[in-house]
Amino acid sequence: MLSTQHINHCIQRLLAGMALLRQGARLVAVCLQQAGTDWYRQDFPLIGYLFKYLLAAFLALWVALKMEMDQPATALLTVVIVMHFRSGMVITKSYYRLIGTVIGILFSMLLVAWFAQDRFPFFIAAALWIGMCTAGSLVYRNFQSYGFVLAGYTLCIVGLPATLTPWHTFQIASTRMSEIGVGLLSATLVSELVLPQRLWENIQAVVRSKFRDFSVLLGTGAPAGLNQPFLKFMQDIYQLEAFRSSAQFETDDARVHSATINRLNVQFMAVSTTYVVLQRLIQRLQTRAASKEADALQVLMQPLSAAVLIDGQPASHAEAITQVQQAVAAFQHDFDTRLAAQLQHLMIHPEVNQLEVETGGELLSRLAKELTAYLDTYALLVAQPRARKVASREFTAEQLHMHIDWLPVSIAATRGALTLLILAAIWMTIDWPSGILAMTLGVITSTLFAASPAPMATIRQFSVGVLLGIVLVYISNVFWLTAAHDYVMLCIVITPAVLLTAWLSARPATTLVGAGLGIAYFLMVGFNQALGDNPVKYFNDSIALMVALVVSGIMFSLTDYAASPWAKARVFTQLRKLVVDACLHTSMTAPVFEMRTRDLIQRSGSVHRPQEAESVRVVEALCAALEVGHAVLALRAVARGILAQPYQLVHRTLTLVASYYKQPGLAQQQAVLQWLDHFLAWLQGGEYADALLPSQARKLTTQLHFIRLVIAAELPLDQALTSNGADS
Amino acid sequence: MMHAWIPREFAFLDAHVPTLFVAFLLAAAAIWLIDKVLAAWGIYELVWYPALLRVSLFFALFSVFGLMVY
Repeated sequence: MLSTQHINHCIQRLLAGMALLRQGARLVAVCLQQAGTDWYRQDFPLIGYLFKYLLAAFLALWVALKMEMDQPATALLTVVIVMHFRSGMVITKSYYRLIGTVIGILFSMLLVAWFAQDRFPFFIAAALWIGMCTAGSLVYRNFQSYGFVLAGYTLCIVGLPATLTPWHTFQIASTRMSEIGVGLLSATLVSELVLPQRLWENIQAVVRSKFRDFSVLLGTGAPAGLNQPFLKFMQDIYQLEAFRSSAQFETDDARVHSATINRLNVQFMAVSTTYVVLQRLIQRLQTRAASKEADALQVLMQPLSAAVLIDGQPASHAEAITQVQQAVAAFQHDFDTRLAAQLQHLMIHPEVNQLEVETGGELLSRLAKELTAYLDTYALLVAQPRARKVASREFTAEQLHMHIDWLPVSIAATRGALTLLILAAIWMTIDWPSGILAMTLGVITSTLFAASPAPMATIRQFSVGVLLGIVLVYISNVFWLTAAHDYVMLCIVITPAVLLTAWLSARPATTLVGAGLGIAYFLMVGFNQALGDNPVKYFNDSIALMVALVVSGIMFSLTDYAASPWAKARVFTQLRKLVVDACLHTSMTAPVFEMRTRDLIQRSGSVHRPQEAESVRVVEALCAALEVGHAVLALRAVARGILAQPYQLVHRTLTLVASYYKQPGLAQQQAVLQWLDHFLAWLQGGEYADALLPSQARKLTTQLHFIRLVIAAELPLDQALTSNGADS
Repeated sequence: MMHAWIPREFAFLDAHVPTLFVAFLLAAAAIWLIDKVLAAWGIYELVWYPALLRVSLFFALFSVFGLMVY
């Protein structure tokens, strides 16, 4: 009896132990699986990328050697330049590189044909060309900008060697072209076929995260201020645009959705701006101790905030998005009655200015309308990506408009041209064999980094890479290449440099170090015409790279436009100029205004440094400009349908607002405010009866009142200057 | 039979250009067009490895054009 009990007890304990063991094993398995998925998601792509990089380099090298090209290193250099984590990016980059190269080669041949016998006109023309290419690289975005860089730099690798032996120009041009072609083909083939990384995933991730952030902001408000989220949104918008523009050669859905993505971006700009404007209005009312109006607006806003979040969470799947869409539609449907009720409710407080609530209500209904449009596009893109078929390809979305400021563009162009001329002068005066290399790198740096928001830091990082490359070239040339006797050994020799370049350039923090390393290494590596080391050439070439970096570094620091206080003042002036344009030019529509303003700020580089006080000021100015600009455009939209006499009054308002934004002084501000008061009094007095419909009058009143609010809240420039002076 | 009357290289502005290069360009242009059509019709959604299909199509076309020359 006892022994049976004992046995039973033992069996039970054994079973319990086994259960525990099984649980432990399951836990370990889960952990391993988790670690495996994490590894597969995070580290595996990087390893795959390194492998692809290596494969592309080996393929290019093999083809170039097999076809007995002069400079197999050029093919490798091309691979290094175009390789990118995302397959679509590689194809797009290659496409623009090809165009840039062809144009650069054609121009080089023209240049040699015209001026081969005299170097002065040759270099003047070359400098003009580099200037033009630099300007182009600054005007265009993304990889189009890259095409210009390459058109400039091709002049150096084809045109300059050709000046030494003009009768070989055609041969040099065609071999360079073939080498670059081999590099491009291997890079694109490998990145298309081996472990392709699709852009569509990135695009979806950005689109979703943008929606999530905005839903949270809309649902919970912005306790920490609107500037940071607004900057984040701007970054997202331009990142999405960068992905979209690279997706045209992708095989996946990204390409088909290109127009939809663009439309989403435009709608998102609109809705985020309206939200910011509304929040600024509420804040302004609160600081002006008009808390009843502010509260009323918040009460009106509340259902919308509640509508975008489901159980406090942003919508993530298709049904949730539909739910949000329905909630927003319901909000829109009974918004007018709720606004009327709210106004009725405020009647009992005589001190409340009903006009301010009406103005806010106008903004709120605009917000809801834009949110609906944005949600529709978002649902189309994310929730049912397969259901689009024909519908989404029907519309052609507006392009993102650019705001081009010619001053920094011309400064950059001059800088590029001068860098080339200085290096050419050094080359010619001391008759230095590596002058061409110096000019090549000088042109690469001055065109490639022209659009950089902080060129000095960029150059510094790039220089670190170049130094690393120089060291690596020494080791390769002296110790390894001398021992390399066949293709496999050659591959082994270049492997460390290729892997290091790939690894560095895959990490966002060291991308430029990687670029510097790859470019320097493959410009100098010793298997071009003659295999092996030549110490004199090596040192000459290293000095050439250093000289090029020093010269372009000096040129960048002398003409660092983006960092100068003058440039920042100019950004503010240009924002005002855009508002003036919005007042006076009929060609300016709300989306165009929106895009140009944002592009201006994006190009000023402030978006990349969201923590700085300066950026906060810029965003403040941007919001203010958007606020008044949209109000002015809305006023013009209202005024379009009205008769001649009140229209003239609107026209006078616009002229006065424009003159205030042209010359922001106290006197002009007073003039605008007086005029607006006068106009508003006229409208409220009901004397318009024969000229305007009551609904038109109401719309005009709210818009005018809003403009008045914004302008009255602005500190005129002369006062702002004196208060700044007092601070410092 | 076509290679009887297609030359293997020809002079373009006094530069010798291999006809194979022209075949390459033609194949690239054709693939660009075909690719647009395939993407618009949603054919790529039915394909296991779209990039491979695209590259293979290119090589097939290029070979066809190349065999016309040689």
